[in-house]
Amino acid sequence: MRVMKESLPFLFLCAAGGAAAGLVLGSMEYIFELVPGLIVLVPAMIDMRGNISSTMGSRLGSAHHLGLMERGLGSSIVKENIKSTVALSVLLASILPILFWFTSFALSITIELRALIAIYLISISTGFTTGVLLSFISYFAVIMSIKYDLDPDNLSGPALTTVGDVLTLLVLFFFAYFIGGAIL
Amino acid sequence: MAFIGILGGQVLHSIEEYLLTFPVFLFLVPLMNDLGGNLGCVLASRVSSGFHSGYIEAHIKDKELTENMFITLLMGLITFLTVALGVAVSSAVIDLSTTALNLILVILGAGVITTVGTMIITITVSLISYKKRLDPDNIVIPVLTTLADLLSIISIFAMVWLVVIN
Repeated sequence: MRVMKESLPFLFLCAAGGAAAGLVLGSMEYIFELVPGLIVLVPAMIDMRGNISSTMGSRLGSAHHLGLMERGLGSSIVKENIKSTVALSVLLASILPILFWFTSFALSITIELRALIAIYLISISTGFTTGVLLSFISYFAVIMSIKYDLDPDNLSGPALTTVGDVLTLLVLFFFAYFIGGAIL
Repeated sequence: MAFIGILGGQVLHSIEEYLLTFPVFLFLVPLMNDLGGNLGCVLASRVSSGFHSGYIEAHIKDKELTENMFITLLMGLITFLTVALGVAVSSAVIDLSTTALNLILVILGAGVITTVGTMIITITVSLISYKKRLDPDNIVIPVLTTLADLLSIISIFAMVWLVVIN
């Protein structure tokens, strides 16, 4: 049962991270009432965030193993990864509201046009901001694990997704509050 | 993947009213998503390493495989039980607008469904991708985390519906 001894603390830590994200989500009650349908974005955004940052995390980890990260933030592979992460985030963030509209239409749920526009703007701004923030965080996570002689691959997955979740929700909260407040 | 995420979102949207009335369940969503996802990931990487090193044979009746499945179930049970108790105990101190028993039932029920479902998904996708000569590491994790999220949201929905609304 050595597996359990190693994995259980990790799982509990992950639950703690989830709890932190949950607290942010729980405090967004008002926002969900303000922007109807916003809640539909939440799981998709979190998933997207998780996948994109893990990919970047493992790419940077491998890049380091190949010695391609010599020039730190100036390394071309780092710059490329940051650019593609942000681009991918914005791209996906603009698709989500379309999927939202489509599924709502298919499920016969009406959405106010203003709400849809608000959600679109919120999605893109959140996508862009989290893309930028998380790519830098991924980079620093990899640097940290190198410094402390840990395998970047082990650290990047779970740590990044947990931090990413909380951060994504906070950013979503922020933009929903202002854009929602302005438009609705 | 994004589509499945949005579907999950639509499920949440349909119980939004209940989530807003009992914010504790809203709070549970990321936590259970994360736990389901990580249980799956732990299993997935062990199984994948097992396949690569020949320690586990890509067959459902393999003894190592079933042992890992059992451990995953056990860990899921322990973790969700702890979370359920933790939340139930907190309800004595903070007003969570629903009974401790309801909380335990919802969390445990959703937890069991999520754990079992995640395990089935992980093993299935791992076996299939390995048999098709694809590297399980690349395929399993993204598929698993997205499906696990959807599953945990649906199971929360189902348990809230069963326990609180009825």
